[in-house]
Amino acid sequence: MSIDTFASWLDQTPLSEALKNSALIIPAAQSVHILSVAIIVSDAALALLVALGLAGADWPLARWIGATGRRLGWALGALLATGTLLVAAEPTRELPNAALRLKIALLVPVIAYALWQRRRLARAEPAAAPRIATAVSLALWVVVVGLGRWIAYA
Amino acid sequence: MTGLLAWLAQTAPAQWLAHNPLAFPLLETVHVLAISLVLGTATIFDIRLLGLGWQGWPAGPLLTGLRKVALAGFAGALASGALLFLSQPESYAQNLPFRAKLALLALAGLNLALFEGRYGRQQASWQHSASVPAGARVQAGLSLGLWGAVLVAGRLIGFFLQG
Repeated sequence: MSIDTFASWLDQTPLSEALKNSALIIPAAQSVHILSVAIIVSDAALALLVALGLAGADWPLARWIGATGRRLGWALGALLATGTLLVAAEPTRELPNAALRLKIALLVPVIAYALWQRRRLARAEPAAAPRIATAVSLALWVVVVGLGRWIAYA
Repeated sequence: MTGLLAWLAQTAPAQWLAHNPLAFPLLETVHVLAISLVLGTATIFDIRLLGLGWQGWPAGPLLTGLRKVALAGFAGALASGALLFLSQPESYAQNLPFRAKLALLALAGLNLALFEGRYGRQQASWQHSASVPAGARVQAGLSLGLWGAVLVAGRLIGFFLQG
């Protein structure tokens, strides 16, 4: 099945119809999506700042990473759920969008990298290179956010 | 007021925005990233003060450690937001969610100013949840609600924007 066929099929599903007919679900889903983005991006930024010693005084990074894990898990879940809803509301407009496609393609490696480096950092593995790992993760999320904003213009 | 808004639309930054198609989406991205720092740190503060999380982290030092990050995020959000406003001053000034967002921001700022005025000196000594005064917790709850409302109002601006 091509993406266009899939988009047309999704567009006709009861879920998509329900989303189109509700004035409240889309802005609500967008707000939750932005809140999830805020938690994920700030989490990546704070990890870098803690690694650089610029947030707090001598906070151990491994402990900080451990404290943020559950919050990040919820945010990632909400991000993917609301993102799916937003695409399902307008599949024939969203799925052919080049910025959205690139964003979805990038999300898999970005999330995988974020989770892998967090696990290493939480164990305080000496080879984890905390400053580089947290900086790379933040930079990747910034690219994802930029692509997300770009969907409206692509 | 109309004269001021028309003048703002003619200023150099407004003209720069009008002539650079990339400027607006780039500023929006900066705005989202800056807002992320504000919301990310504010939720950590408020959840800690309410005793709903971060229990292993003494409240006072947690607030002190993250304050600069929150302020830097707010400064970035304010600067990028002001530039975004300049792209269409008259449309934004009439936009109901935009007005609501400004009013909610003022309330969030007032809440923070009252909090700092009342607890600014003693908060460094807050260690366990029990040492956080009830009034500070009420203000933390208010802060969570206000920042959430600011986010929703901001998201609604585009739905009501004309022109």
